[in-house]
Amino acid sequence: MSDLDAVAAMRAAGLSRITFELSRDGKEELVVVTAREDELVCVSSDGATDGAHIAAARALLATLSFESADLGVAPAPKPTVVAAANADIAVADALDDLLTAIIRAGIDEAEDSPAVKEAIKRITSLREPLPLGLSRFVGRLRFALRTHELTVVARLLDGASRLVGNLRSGTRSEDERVRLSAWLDRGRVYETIHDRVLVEVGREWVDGVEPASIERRYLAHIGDGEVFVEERARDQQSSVGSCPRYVRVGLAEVEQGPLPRRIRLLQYAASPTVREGRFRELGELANTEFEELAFSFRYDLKSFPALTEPFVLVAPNRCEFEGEQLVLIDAESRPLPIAQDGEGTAALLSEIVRARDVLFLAGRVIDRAGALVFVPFSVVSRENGALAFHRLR
Amino acid sequence: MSEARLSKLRAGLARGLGQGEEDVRQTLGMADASDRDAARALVQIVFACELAEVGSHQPRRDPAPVAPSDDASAKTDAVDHVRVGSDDGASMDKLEDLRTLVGFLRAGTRLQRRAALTRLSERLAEPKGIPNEQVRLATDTLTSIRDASLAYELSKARESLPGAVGRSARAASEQWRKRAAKIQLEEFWDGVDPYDPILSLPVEHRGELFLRVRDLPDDISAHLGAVIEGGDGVSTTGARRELVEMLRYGGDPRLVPALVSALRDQDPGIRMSAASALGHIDDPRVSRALVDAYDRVMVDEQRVALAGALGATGDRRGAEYVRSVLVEADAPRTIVGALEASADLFGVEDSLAVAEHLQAEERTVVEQAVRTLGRTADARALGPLAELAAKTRVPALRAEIEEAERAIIARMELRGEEVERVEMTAREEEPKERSRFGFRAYWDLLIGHMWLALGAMGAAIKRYESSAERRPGWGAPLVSMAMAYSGREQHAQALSAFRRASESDRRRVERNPLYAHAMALAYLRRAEELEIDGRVDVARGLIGEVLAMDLRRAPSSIRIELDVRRNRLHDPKTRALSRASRRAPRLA
Repeated sequence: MSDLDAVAAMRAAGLSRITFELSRDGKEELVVVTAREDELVCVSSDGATDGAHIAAARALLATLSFESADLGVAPAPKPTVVAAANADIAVADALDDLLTAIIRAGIDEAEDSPAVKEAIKRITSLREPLPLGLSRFVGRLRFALRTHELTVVARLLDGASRLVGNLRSGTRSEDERVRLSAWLDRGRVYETIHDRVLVEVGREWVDGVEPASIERRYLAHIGDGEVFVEERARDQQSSVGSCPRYVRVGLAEVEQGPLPRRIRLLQYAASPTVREGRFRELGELANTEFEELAFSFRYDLKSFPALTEPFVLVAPNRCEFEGEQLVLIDAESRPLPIAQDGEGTAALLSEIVRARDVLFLAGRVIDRAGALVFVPFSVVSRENGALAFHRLR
Repeated sequence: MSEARLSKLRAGLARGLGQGEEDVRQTLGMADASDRDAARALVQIVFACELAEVGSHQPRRDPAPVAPSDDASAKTDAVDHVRVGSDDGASMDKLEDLRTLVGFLRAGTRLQRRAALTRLSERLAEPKGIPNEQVRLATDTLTSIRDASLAYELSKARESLPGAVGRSARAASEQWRKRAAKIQLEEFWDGVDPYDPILSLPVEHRGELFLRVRDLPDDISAHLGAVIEGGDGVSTTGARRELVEMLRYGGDPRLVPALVSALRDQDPGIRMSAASALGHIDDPRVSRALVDAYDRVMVDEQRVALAGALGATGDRRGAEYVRSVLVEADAPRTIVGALEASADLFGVEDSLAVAEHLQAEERTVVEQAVRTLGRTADARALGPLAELAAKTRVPALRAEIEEAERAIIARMELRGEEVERVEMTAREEEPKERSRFGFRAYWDLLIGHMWLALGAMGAAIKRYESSAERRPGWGAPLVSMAMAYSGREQHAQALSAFRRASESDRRRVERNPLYAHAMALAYLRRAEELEIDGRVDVARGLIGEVLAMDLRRAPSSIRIELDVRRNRLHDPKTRALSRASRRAPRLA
């Protein structure tokens, strides 16, 4: 079957992409076959466009039947796509136009600028559904423009600008593939993990293209304290379980990319019962030096300025109050203030801290006016000799 | 880069390349570059400079705090000047007079009622020096009051009372603890048991469990949170909606994150129920979540629910909006929602507008209008309420009117107003004429009890029937029959007997907590059986029938279950749920 025939057959069946999971010569790869307007694109998860796995995928493709009756589905309606010869160029152009529109209008006025609104609309129309990375970028950008956060806008636009450079250059180094994967859910670069124990320590809905349209669940690894994030759009399925939950992972995929790394649970068992010992183990792995946090934060930002939203465990040496402001203090007396976001979370945390000893907290690190601030999601405290988990948001 | 150059670039970023662009371009060294190239360079440089600064400052405060949502203005009322937890001397926890505390318990805001209950319990724990009549008044009130929103606090308060009431409350508490301890989650989450262990509980146990949800262990609370968020992989939308409805008065702060998440659920019923549940939780996170939801929602029915929930927290920003909805709305459901919301939003000046709804055709509207009038507590409402009491033959409505009148008078006394003793609920039912042959009927009743104690159900029922025949209008044998059937979970027969008993001697059934409990449960269980059997219309009729009765002496948990069941059976979308909603196995 020629490439053009395959494209035509796939389109007639309403298919735009097929993924093969192939194991050959002891190596596992995912091969994504995409029917573009006038070409068949085959890319494996190691970024290759030829080789044994690609050949196997092509051979398999030739044997498939694309009759709608065989597939058991009605032909899908035509997807909404920008009329562009190359989807990569379309994304690059849209992001470039957005960047230019914002800088022309100025951050102070960009929120109300028709050109900026149009540019954002163009991005949201690129694909249906929009990849989570791109969707989250739009959500954060809208918020930063609304609140006139110049630093954040610059960061987001710089990140977008780097993606534009990748897309236009067409080269695919490891870093570039990771960036594409993080932004566009394409050519995922991931590792498979087995037999791990994770504890969910936080959960939230964040803004994407729509408000509160992306769910994030933060899972801390008992072995080394790394926090992964399970991410989904509102209309997608997710793993089952509560927050907190104890997750025994049989098989999962962890993507390379901005921190926290995305995880996809494939085989697991979950329980709402988390034994004290597990919290104790996490407490021993939590960050105790806030200088280290700042260093990691800068490093992560440098790699993925638009997508990094670090989520960490911290174990302060002590907690102090500056009036109503709760401050975490490490052993070097370096402070990490709790974010005052007006949502009542800080007030609740203060109530807990006043009454109990803190073992560790889980939350996001952000920066405001050059200072690191901690957005708490949960806290594990000691009370009456026992550990208790308090979900804050 | 120098600070001055960086400042220029930041200023350029803020103002835009169109404002003084030459300056920015020159600073960038890109006088002839395209806007696109200049833009890229600008953000790159600013970001790089900012990056170096991240973490360089170490303040002890958040440099950019966000202010909490502003408070709406409170109404001024002498009663409201007795704040909860204030330090100005007019604080609930310093009140000594039990009559005043009882007044707040009947007529205060939700926060005042809770605080009054706590203070009453403290005072009754050390009654030395308090006049006996006040102690009796307080104890009687604690025993008799049936406010579902205070069910948890009431149960705790009753446990500390002396005598039979206290013993009974402590026994109920112990039974609750034993039931809660039996709940096993592991088999469900391991996939061994396909049925949710909590949603599968018998209805009466479930209701009791949820009223004390804040005493449940953390893992069960987390499990409930997962169900609310749709994260258990099993529950249908309808089942989740019912769960959130049943948790309305739970008051468990651990569920706040899940309920806040539910404010954005795709199902509007879940959103509204979540708002209501949040309104009953004293937690600093609730206010902002409700305000954000209120500001973004545009659908009347949902916005009204959010306004009501905010009102329950003391935030009255939705009052004007609810007023407009009450004037304009046609749909009974919306009107009921608006009236319910107005209970925590309106003041005395709104009572006449609320009283207009006493003429509505829909009974649910009238009932809610009565409840709201009890909360707005305007003396002018006593007249229309008395007129309604004289006209109505529905016991539930008469019960609501009685409670509303009590609340209005209590509030008037708290305000120091003079209370004219208005004829309350003037029309009493005429007691049925009883036969003169009392002894033989009593003998049959005794023998019936004896047969029942021996396990001879058939013989006992015969004797009860004989007793009832000998003495028409005497409810004792019919109630005994109903209780016997109820004890053996023969709900259809119990239902029939309770019906006969109510027709014969309504007061005996409705005014005895034991009988009222058994009767309400018989109706609920029978309705459940019919619903599973597909006879939804009959089930709906039964629920409507029992809700028309005076259920003040039935447990709050059963009344809540009845309300939830009624809502479900009236909602066409969820009527198909029945068996699936509770018994849905986990998906593979």
